[in-house]
Amino acid sequence: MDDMQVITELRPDEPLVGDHDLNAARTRLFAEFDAARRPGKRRFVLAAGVAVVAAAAAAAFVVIPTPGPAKPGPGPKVVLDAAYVLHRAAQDALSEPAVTPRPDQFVYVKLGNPRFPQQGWLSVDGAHDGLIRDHAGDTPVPGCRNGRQQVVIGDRPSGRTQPCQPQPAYDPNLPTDPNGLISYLEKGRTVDLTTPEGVNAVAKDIDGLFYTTYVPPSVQSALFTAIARIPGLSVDRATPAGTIGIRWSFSGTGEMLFSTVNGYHYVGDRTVSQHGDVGSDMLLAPVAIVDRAGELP
Amino acid sequence: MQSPSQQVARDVGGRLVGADAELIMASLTEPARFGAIFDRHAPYIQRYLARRLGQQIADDLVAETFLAAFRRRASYDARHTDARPWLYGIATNLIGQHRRDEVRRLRLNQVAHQADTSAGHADRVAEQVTAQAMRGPLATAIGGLAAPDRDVLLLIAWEQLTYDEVATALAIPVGTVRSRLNRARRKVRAVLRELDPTLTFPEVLT
Repeated sequence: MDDMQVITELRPDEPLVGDHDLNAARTRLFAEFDAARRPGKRRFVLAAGVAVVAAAAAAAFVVIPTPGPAKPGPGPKVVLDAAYVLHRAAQDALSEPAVTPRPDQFVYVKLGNPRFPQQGWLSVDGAHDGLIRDHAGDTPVPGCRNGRQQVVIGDRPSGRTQPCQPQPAYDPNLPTDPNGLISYLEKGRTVDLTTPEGVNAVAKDIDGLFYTTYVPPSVQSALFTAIARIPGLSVDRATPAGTIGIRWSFSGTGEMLFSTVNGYHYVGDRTVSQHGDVGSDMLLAPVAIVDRAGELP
Repeated sequence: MQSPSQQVARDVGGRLVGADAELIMASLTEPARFGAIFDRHAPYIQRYLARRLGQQIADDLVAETFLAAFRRRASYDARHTDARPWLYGIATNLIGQHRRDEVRRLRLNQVAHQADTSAGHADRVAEQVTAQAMRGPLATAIGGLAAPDRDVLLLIAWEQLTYDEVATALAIPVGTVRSRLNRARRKVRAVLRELDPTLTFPEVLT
């Protein structure tokens, strides 16, 4: 008889628990991360007016404003908390492959309603002619070269030019740490994230980043980590299938949406009324880099 | 013992990518990186705690284990790419604060198996009855071990740690691991011989 084998057989038959069973422990640990990172002040300030948001595309990919006073949301009570989801999203982003686009390439985005999607091919350096395509047809996004760009009338270049500033769809200088990212954003006008206006402005800037630019995994990670510091965020599980919503508490009904399939990945935003979803801008495909405007990844 | 942290890739510079040690070092400046340590190892640490103290206490102590690990991460020895032995050690220290719970659990185990064997089943083969009958006294014997000896015995027998990993976990020399294990096994064998004087045990090199 092997005594060690007898002792091993005495081992209680306990199963390996899943993620759900570890949520309470995870939440406690992730709260500790915040405490470790917080520099001692409860409020912090972000800037709006992110320079990299392409003006032409921003008009097409408008984010629905979410005015109104803060009030408790109608979502169900859940175990997951917002900080946990954002920390997981920050972590999962790092597992994505990072690419470095060439200046002559295009950032491909596909978003909106699945029945009427919008596709955009946005110039990496802002100097090349891009394209926005939806159910109504194609709209050119003229590149800005030598300070001039074509004037588009209707959906056609007019042959005339106007002064411009390049609007690159990829900024290689975006900081990859939360503090650096906050500093970067503060170069614009200052907003207070404890006010509805401040949160609303920042929410739109973040959506603009995701909808109109390529945000490398390391920057996404820093962004979600920074967002996790905003006080009062809450979780709403009553979201489209396979997603979870992080509610901006001060904007009342605005939410960031994260896919819950294979980890937590940002997939868009939505605005919720008392009667349900009033508008979603979902990323319908992963943001990709392609060589030509009109080319599918 | 296998863990995902040992299945890491190396980049062109030979640097380990995604190893526990790297994540722990990175978490010194970016605390959220420590989240991957939790996701990799928490199910195993929770199961270890549940085996020794039961599910209810385990659910609480798994959080305590990782909070303690996070707070001590600056002192982690980065030569150990796999953090699981380190985490086992922290969990074992916390179990030390629940010795009474553990001994009570082991005694309950004995009572449960006494009841089980007394119920009896006609078709149970003799060998099974014998093994079953040993469980209760054996649980009591393990409960009666000195705590440091029990820690070593159960980390090896239940968690399948190697001697080196136990030494890392408990921050003791490997020689001490061997001597504690030998002492624990001698006591366990004595109990087993009382139950069945005909038993013999092959000497296993430790």
